[in-house]
Amino acid sequence: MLQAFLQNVINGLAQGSVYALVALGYTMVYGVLQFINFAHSDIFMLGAFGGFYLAKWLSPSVSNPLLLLVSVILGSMAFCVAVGLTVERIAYRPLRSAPRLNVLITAIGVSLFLENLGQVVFGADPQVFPSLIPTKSLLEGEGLVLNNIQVTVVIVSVLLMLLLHWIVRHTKLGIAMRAVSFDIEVANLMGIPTDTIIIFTFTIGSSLAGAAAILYGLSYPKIEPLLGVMIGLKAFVAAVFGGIGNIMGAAVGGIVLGLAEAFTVYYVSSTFRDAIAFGILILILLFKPAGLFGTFKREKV
Amino acid sequence: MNQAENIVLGGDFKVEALTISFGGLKAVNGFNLHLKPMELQGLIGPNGAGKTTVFNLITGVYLPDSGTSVLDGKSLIGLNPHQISKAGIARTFQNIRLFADLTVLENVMVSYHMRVGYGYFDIFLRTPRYYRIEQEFRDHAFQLLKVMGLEQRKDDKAKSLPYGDQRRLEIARALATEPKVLLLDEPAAGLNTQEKAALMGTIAEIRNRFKTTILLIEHDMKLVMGICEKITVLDHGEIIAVGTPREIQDNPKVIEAYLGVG
Amino acid sequence: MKRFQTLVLIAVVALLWGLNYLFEENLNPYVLRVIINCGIGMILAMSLNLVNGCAGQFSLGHAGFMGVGAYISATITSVLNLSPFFQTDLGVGCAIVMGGIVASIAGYLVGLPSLRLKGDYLAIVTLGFGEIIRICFLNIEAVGGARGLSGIPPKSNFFWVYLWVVVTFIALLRLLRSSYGRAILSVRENEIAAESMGIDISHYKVVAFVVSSFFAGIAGGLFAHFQSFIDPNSFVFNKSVEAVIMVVIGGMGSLSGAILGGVIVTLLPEVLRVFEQYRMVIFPLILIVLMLVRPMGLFGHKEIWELFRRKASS
Repeated sequence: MLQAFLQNVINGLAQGSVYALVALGYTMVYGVLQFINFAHSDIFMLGAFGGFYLAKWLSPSVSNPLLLLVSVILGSMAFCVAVGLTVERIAYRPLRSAPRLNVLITAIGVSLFLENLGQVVFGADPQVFPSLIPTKSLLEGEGLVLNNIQVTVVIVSVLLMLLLHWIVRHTKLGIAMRAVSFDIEVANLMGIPTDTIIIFTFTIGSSLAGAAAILYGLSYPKIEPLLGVMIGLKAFVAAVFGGIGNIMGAAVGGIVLGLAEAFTVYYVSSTFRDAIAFGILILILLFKPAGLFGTFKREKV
Repeated sequence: MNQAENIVLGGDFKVEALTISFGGLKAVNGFNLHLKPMELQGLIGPNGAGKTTVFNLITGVYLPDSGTSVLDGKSLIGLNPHQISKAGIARTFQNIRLFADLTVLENVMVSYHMRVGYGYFDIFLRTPRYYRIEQEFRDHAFQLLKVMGLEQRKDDKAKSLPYGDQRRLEIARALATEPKVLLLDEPAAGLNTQEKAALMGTIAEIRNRFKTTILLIEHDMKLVMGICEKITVLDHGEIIAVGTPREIQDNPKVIEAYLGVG
Repeated sequence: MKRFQTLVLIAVVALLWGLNYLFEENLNPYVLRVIINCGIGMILAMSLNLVNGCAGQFSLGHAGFMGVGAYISATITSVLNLSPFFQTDLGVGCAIVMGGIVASIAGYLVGLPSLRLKGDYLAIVTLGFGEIIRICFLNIEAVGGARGLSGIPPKSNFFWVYLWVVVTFIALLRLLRSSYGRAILSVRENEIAAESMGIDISHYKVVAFVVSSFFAGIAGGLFAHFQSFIDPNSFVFNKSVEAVIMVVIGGMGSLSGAILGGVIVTLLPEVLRVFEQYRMVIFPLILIVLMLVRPMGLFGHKEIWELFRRKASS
């Protein structure tokens, strides 16, 4: 009984960390621009494929698994940042002052574009992500499995989230980002270079997605161009659950969703796995649309 | 339902101890006001004093933390803005909130919707009742536009109107709801001297012709002193003076609040 | 005036009947298929236009309502063996109407809780509902589940589809021209001002959802009885996006724009067929370019006949 519970906790934390990292991207962009970057999930997908090809290219020459892993993660992050910033520059920035609806539609367009482009370029069939570090069981006993992959996922995620926390709380850029989230016009008037801050936000969000993609690839080696859809949706639900725009909320939301899924699959049924995300979404939007830690901005009358 | 003949007698409106805080800051504290039927009162105060917040509280946009609001014996606390509008309070907005893509005439006709006498059946089958009532609405709206001097532009999009006319349209639209009490939020903002003088005349005419009770927020002292019978002065969310224009002009607290301006 | 309108209506119906006969005898079946699909697209676009364009509420789940209409009407005509009446033209028509009604109930259920949500949030919730509806159909074995439902009486010919196009157009036009239409438009224009003028904005948002999902259901029913086969994949998120593109291309808030948008979006995959697999890459690219270059679509808020009126004096 206990080991089942613990096993689910472990699985949930690992899965939830991935959700959290992706959710942070959604929440940060929403925080500064007040819009949902639909294409974020596809940047995640591109990170997975980028990592896939990078790993294939590097693994003959790099023998140290840790070095390989770090390189692939960094490479994926860089690739995602490149894509994210390109999208921001071409598709979002020109619409900065346009009605929210237009940007939303554009984001959907970008998302579909990336998904279909991915299908054309990578082929619609799933690929197998190489195991960058050999799986080793760390703990085994009475049905409880804790392997190094899960530990890696959680550790890397925590490190990244701590790094983010430090950036947001203790650097000038982080403070500027929070100012822009609060009120972009006022931040502008106070001399904060909002374009730069927005670039910075997209950079962080995309790089986290890139890292998450590799961690995901380690845990679930099957990757395909439509990978981002479900993961993105769930990460988005996590962000909304925690209060979209709120960084801690996204992290907490991701973990909670991961745990909820793990427990639902085990104690209820696996067919409901995806439905859990929808269920949480509807419940939170019905009862507390601002999310756990969020607050609604009042419209000025 | 002819606006000019079938007069709705201006309402008796009273608020007491209205209070609201935003995030720990008391935006409005213990606000009292009594509007007698057909009175024309002013609400003044420096920027940020809370005047528009008072309007928002009265019209139901904000829910007060405490206080009462009674129109002709009916409590308005907790009602939605559209219910309060139906009860007889209309308003204009400091930042113009016209229906930009609708025509001038349509903007006014929206206000008649709460009195619409036909249903979906009439709409889809275009019954005689539909045509009759639509024509009535158009005629009444046109009359109202004439009062405000906007009848020439009735088919123009509201967003194409010059600023002064937009302000007048806001008033026309509010009047179309046939209110007992009309709240005007800085109706003269951005108008030149000529337009302001004309507006003063229009407001007085509205009160006399439609027998409406009017509460006016304004910055322009001349306008306020010129037409208001009683003035309430707000500063930092609290009332610092109430009285006739003469009394307010000489009140040292008021002068201080405005830092010598006014 | 009334008599004139009735005469025009009769003439239109006669024209459609005549064209239907003409097309079925002489037109390339492929071309006829495309024309009929355009008609279904027009109805879908006009219905979504009411919510997205006229009420200003961003709904991303329209495919779900189309699906409800499709499945309910198909269930009546081919799953429940009720009576041979439902195999006739009139019977199928009734089934389609019933599909529309059930779809409007779904619209009510979706619209109600979504009221308090703005912009992006509303989009997500409607997206979620659209998906949930689809997943429901996926899991109901009685209507075929993942395998889909086949053997639906193929009664949607040119006449019936375009008759519904005319009915939808007239119904929505009359609604928008009325006081209720003005109320709905005022919600889009300025919610706070609308409320202050006595408009119950929550009520009218729901009205927009209900009416629009009714017609989406009709489109679904016509679709089901045209394809003769439906499965949950016909009503995925992509279909909702297609519908949104139709409305955006034509101009949000314009009925005639929606009609044009419906045609364009239905034709585009055919036109792009040349590009084979790059089709679905080019499609969203067009959307992005559209939003960057001409977000108001072809007609903006206006109807096609308003474009020819002399410009309002500014």
